[in-house]
Amino acid sequence: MTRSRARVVALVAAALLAGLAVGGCGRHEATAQPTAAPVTSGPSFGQGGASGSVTPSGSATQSGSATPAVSEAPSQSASPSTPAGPATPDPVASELDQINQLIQDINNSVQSSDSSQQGGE
Amino acid sequence: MQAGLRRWLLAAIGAVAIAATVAGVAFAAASAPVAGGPAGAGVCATEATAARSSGTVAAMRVFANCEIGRRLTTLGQVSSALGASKGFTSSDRAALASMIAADSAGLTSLKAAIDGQTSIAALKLQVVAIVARYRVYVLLGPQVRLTIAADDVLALKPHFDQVSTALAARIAQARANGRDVSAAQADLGAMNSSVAAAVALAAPLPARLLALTPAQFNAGTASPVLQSVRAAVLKARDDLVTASQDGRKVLADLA
Repeated sequence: MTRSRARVVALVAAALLAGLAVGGCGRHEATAQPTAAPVTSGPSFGQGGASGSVTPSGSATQSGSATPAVSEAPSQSASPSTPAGPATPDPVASELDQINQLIQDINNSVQSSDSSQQGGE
Repeated sequence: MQAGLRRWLLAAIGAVAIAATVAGVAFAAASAPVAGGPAGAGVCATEATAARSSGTVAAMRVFANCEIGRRLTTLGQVSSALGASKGFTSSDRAALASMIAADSAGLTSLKAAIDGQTSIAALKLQVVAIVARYRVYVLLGPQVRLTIAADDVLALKPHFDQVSTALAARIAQARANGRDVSAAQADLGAMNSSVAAAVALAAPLPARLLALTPAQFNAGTASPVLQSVRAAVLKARDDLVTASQDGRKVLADLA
């Protein structure tokens, strides 16, 4: 009886250890996989298929780019040897950013008109 | 007659001084870009006080030249704004440049006449003409700025067309992949409608602005047009803001 109980305990312990080992490997693969994603050219402006993040406040410095050189592949890699670069803005989002800047120009013109009139002659 | 003319002149100087004070307050309070050049309190206040108190030809001439000088400076700044605008059409730019050049030439000519003027009565009329004949601040400035704004609205249409084409392609791709794109399609339609509304509002505005004259302003018929145009520009801007937001909704719908 005592021997069989010890055998059961040993089997359970072995199963737990095996489970931990398998889980650890799986987690490692999950983190490693994105770093292996190929860097491809992203969709050119006007092409479908972009599924990257929408960045409402996208970088203005890249707003003129119509064909991003880096794909919109997820950049969640934790690997220290291959640091992920900055996310490439969606070209449509970038165009919308540029549009918003031009809309601001309209605001500025109206405000300038108001300033001129408020001054009287 | 002489007393009446003097009262008229004092009223004119007072009006200019009050306008300058108001302008100064507005300039100090406004965080917006300033279009008016050296308008505002203090620019010609000293000269106005001297002209009012002495009533001499020399003092009046100094005051007049100060007022002409700040207008010429403003015209130079407004002219620079023509070059800086991104969406200006060439015809509107040319029309406004011509108006600015005409005002600059007219004020320069008036300055020469004032410099040679020895009659106080004639000088008083010339001082009034600085304001009434040109309306640099209350008419020309808004004409230029609002025309730029209206043209900027129109210039945004090709940008939105580009966005619309791109989003339509993405929607088609998503549909081909079996996704429900009804929300994206609706948002794209809303974007295109807002852009069309903005363009319809802005399209007639430059012509309305360019037709205004100082005489119309003096008669009271230009100010309502300016107010109407300003309201239309702001509505068009709001439509474009809405369109931009709708474009982002499409992106979110397809994400």
